Amino acid sequence: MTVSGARAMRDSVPRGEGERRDSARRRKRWLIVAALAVVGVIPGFYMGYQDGAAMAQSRPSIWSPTFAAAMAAVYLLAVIGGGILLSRVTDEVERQRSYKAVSFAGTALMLVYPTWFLLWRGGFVPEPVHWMLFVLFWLSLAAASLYYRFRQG
Amino acid sequence: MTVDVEGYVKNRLKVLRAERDWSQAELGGRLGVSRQAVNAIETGKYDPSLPLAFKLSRLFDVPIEEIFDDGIGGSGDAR
Repeated sequence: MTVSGARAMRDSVPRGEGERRDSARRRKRWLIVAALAVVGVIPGFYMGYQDGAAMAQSRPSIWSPTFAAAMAAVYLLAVIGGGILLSRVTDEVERQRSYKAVSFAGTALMLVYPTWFLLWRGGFVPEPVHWMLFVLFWLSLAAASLYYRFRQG
Repeated sequence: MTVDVEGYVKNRLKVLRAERDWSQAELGGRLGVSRQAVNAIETGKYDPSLPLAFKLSRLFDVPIEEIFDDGIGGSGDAR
């Protein structure tokens, strides 16, 4: 059976109030995630384009203070606002999973950054790179989220 | 004590849900949680909070002890 066939069969079955509420909740969650992705992708591409163009012309990529402040505001608004909106459609299982994943990513950061810093001071490794640490945090978060999601079913 | 290997409490959620012919999504929607949350509780991978346990009790119209079993016994000797 094709995916669309299975969906048509599922949709033809009369659904109860609970299933309708569950669908609405899931739809709302995806809308929030999609809106956050758009908010992240548009400035991300713009910044990447600006930096790329500067690199192609062998000139330093300098942001205006206004642009940098605007980007910081967008980021804070998206993370705080998105977090509040998502928390309204997050149940206790998802919340517990998020806590565990954030805790894992925070522990990873706590282990890696000081170790890297100390080794750098000793001359063993290059200086810690801030964006690498940020990426490490997000990758650990994504990996832990997937692990707990898979384990919990 | 018959708590399962991971230390979670056993439950009769799947049976109670089947008696009403509800899907996991249907039960989740009535409880205000996701289908995955219902699945995690049913399979014993997650113990619900007290408020959610009370919601389940009210929804199925049975005492909490009839839904969840910690394996210790039902005569209040868990105190």
